[in-house]
Amino acid sequence: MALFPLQALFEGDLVVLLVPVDDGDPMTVVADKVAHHVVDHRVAARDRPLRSGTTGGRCPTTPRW
Amino acid sequence: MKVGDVDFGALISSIQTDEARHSQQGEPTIKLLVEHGRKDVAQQLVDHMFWRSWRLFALLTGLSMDYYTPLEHRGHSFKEFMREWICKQFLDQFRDFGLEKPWYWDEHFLPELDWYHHALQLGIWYWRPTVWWNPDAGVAPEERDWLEEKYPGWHDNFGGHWDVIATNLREGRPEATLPETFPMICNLCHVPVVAPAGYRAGKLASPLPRVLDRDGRRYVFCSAPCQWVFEQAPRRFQGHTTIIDRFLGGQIQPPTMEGALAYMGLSPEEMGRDATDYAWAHAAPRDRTATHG
Ligand SMILES: [Fe+2]
Ligand SMILES: [Zn+2]
Repeated sequence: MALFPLQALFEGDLVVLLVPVDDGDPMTVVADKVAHHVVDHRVAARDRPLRSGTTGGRCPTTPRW
Repeated sequence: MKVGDVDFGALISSIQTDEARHSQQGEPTIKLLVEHGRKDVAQQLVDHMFWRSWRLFALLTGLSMDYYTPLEHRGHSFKEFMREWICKQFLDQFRDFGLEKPWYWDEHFLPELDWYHHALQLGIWYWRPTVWWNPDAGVAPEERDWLEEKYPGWHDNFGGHWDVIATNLREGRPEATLPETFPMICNLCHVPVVAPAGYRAGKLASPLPRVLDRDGRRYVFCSAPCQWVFEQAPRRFQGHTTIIDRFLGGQIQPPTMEGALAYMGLSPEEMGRDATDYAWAHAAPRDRTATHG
């Protein structure tokens, strides 16, 4: 179990977000973690689509110096 | 500023002469390049810098014209201004030199006139603690009518987000209108990736950011032209890190919203707040069924 940053977008939202998730999280939990930042903040709960989370993949890797 | 403020007058004069010089360098440079058979270089310079300028121009001028200017003082919309002065006059100037419009003009640039700065307005207002000015939401009922008139479809594409925000404010939940995480940032223009808004407005084929894995590092781009600019000169851009790269790379401590705001040098007094103390959200909403059938 380890935290890693996901770039995530929620259907109906306007921007791609940085969302920390755990590598042991099932997709439903990941979707809820993304929805936490969006539903009833920028997207109304009643407009929430059934398939709620879409992930854009892992975030940029830590740059080497 | 006071009458007789010599320092302010000197500052403005200095800025103006500086900008006047800058604006006079482009045309002779392009002329010289074309005369010496390097039209390809001239075209590449224009394509490259027009896109990067557009990214910031939409943010600064788009928001100022369509959201921050009081309704009674608005003449043209930002889109009308862009069509007249940029799409017509500016392009004509380049055609006179024998250059073409940038490759991304029709497919990427023109469609953005309908949605890009509206998405930035929402993002900047929502992430207002990260900016050093007080953003005006500019979405009181009569302002929304103006936006819908100038940008048909505005209410469907953007009004719904503002409705959710306004409801939270009216019902006493201002904390629900403040960010708890960050947007992803483009590795070329450093503006948040708002492609999902363009997709939702029907102007983009995909809401996803563009991802490039190169030399052991992953880059994220907001748009095809930003990725193109990067790939034209990777050695020029590859060493730079966005604020999100720094956050993920452990350079920002503590790795929290507060830590990032402190890293940006923003004290609580300097962080942006709503310019009207949320007055717009309490204005009586219009019945939209009459105008929006
Ligand atoms: Fe300048
Ligand atoms: Zn970009």
